[in-house]
Amino acid sequence: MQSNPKKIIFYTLSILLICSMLFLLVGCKSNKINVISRDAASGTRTSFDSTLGIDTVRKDASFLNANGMILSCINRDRRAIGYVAKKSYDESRASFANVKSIQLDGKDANSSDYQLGHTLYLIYREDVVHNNQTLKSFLSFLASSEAQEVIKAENYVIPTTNSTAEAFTKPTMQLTDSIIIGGSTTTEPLMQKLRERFLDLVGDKFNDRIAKIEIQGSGSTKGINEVKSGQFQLGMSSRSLSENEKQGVQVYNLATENIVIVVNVKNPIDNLTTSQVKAIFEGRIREWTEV
Amino acid sequence: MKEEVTINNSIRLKKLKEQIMYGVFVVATIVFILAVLIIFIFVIKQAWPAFAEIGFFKFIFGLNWSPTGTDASFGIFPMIVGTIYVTVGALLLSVPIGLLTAIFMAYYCPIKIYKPLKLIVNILTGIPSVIFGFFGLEVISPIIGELGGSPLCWLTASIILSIMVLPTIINLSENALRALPKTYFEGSVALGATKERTIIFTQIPAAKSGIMSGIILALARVVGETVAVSLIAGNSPIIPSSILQGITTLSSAIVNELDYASGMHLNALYGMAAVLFVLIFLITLTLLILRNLSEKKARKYKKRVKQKEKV
Repeated sequence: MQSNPKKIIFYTLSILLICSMLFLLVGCKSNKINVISRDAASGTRTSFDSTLGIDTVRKDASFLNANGMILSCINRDRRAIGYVAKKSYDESRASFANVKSIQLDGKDANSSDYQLGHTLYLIYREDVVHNNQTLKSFLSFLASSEAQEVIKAENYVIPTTNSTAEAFTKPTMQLTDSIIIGGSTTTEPLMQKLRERFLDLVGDKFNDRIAKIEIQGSGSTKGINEVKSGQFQLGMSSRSLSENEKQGVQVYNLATENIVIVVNVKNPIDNLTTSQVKAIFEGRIREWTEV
Repeated sequence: MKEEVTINNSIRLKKLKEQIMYGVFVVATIVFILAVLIIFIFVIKQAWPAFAEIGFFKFIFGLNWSPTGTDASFGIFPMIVGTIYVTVGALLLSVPIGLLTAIFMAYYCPIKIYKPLKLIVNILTGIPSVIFGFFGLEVISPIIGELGGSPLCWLTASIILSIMVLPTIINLSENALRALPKTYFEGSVALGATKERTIIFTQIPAAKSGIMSGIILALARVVGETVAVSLIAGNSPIIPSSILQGITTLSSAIVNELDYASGMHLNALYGMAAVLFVLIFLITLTLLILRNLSEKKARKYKKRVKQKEKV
């Protein structure tokens, strides 16, 4: 029996095509929840998990290293849910038009009684501050009313521990020491703004040919560890430090920031309760139809 | 007398030069060997506590990887399986395409198309993997997401890696096919086989070891690939039950977590590196064995031809 090979190829190809199209159609009806979480080093994740009481995030979730990556994934995936710091959500509205934030227990992230948030901490070593005039001056600036204005202007909340602040006093001598500020990527944008304001204020006293203030975003845990090792002079952390980590360093509460839960705009859901979010991230709710 | 001295001098100078150059070559080799040794010793030394304290079997075959927190557990089996899964997936996609492309380039391609095609293949070899990862994240993953699972999953990773290793497979297979003695092809055609039949039943079996070494080189690249995988695989420390679930490979787990790991977690990551070392070592060993086999075959063939010529 002689069969035309061209015909056979044609038939197989068309069957394959039909199958894949059917597969796509079936797939489109899927309501599975794609959970996107941050990596274990992230301060946002630690605060998110502890505030909502999440024990272990479901293991088949995607674990991504940056706010921007989470937003870009949710921007393209209508079944995804994730969370990012409110700041990076607000700033990337323009580039990720398909991402929307949802309310938690009926409360909007802009309201004052929104529960999901985390404090941004700064970590430094007393002996390093002693030897570094720039760092000393920068720390006194951070506690001043000028710095608090910047923090408020960036939509952060001032922690109650440093509600009283005085005006910044310019250092008397030239600042020639360099500092590297590193750690939490969430804190990084605020730190950039604070650095700008500081350099404005110090102006001629800051010898910018010798001294540099460098900011590196690398995750909270690295920020804490590198301050201890001396790599960073000032560490940023967006999560609270464990008792072990607090040893030998000073911790300063810089600002408080909210975390928003984000989904794709095609997702009809606008509000989730705390227990629902917990169940979704722990993997007890796996379909969007269940919420 | 004077002349003799100058000749002697020039000889001595030449000898000195030779000795210096000899020294340079020896030093270069020693530096290289030392570098390899130091890396090996360093990884083993750092990994040792992980094997000693967690226990070899618990570490290799443990199913639970949760390195942070109070009750940390270090089982890297999901990563080992993930590495194998991603590799198998990538090879399943890339080997047929690569082999068929190689056949096209070696036997069917008009010269006008051949040059740009070869250029494209060579360019593809040089593209950094992070670009492939980014492409996968932005272009492939949304399409895969439409299939109903997670967009960052086993399938996405395998597709991207298969594109990445295509040039390796194409180039090596094509070279292997071209290196075959013309007599194979001519003999088969002379016996009445069609061109297709000749290629599939004579040429490919004859070039088997060359093609296999291409595949194994591709395998090594997939196993070692890091950045692209960490961007698109989802980094879920599980053994996936479907191709649409997130996955982690050994190398991507290392690069993702090295940033913040400390204590036993760090040792466990070095343990992973040691396992990766062993995997790559095994792959290279297979490659060597295959090459030896093919050389032996070639020698046998040449002998036979010579004997026939004598007759």
